[in-house]
Amino acid sequence: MGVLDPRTNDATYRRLAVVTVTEAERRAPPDDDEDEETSESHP
Amino acid sequence: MIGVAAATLLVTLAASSRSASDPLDAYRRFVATPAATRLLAVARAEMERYWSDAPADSAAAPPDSIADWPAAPVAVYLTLRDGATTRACVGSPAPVRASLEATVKALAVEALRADRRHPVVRREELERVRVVIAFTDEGVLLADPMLVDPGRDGLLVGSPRGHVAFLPGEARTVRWALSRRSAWACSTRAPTTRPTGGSRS
Repeated sequence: MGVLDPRTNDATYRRLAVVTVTEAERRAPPDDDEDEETSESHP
Repeated sequence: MIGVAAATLLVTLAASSRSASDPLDAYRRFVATPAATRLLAVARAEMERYWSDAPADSAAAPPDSIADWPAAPVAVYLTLRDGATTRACVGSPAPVRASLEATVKALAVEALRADRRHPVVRREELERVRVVIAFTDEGVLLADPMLVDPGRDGLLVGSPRGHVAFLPGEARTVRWALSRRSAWACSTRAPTTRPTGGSRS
């Protein structure tokens, strides 16, 4: 595992396409029976 | 212990363009399935198991089987978010294990202790951090990192000393990200041989 100084002259740069899945917000249980569901957003 | 209600799974798809040959297409479909939800649960269970005496196979993950790599394996990053702050982030330009589930388990444990830019994650912090799993393509080589939209695209910065990855939303501008050196980037494993071209348009 390496961490570099990106200001070095020999740095290379790649633009990445990224797909993420994010855990539901951490909070106390709601009163209703709401369960997990999945939604999408396209920024 | 604070109860947790998984109310809404937010799936964010961030990519600038798509094509029929896009290696991430299968992953875009995957993150909208229950298997992706379970993968998050696997990561959390593995982190909880890290502090317990339970054997590796006893992690309290949901029992349903998980579909493995939806397509050809890609880079995977695992981030722990505390509100708007990146608490820890690790990953690799190349898969670290043969299966997706094993890769995520390995990254989950690494996120707790191996992000050198942050203190190790304490057990009690798990209650409030959110797990984010990101899949990325190999990327398109750029001469100028300023061409990246940091709100939409990832940026992989490489050198003989290593790689760091900025995932979408982690930096407000590329200039700011680079000025912060690697403070907001994902720690990555040793660089791997990667093609120097890219077909994404």
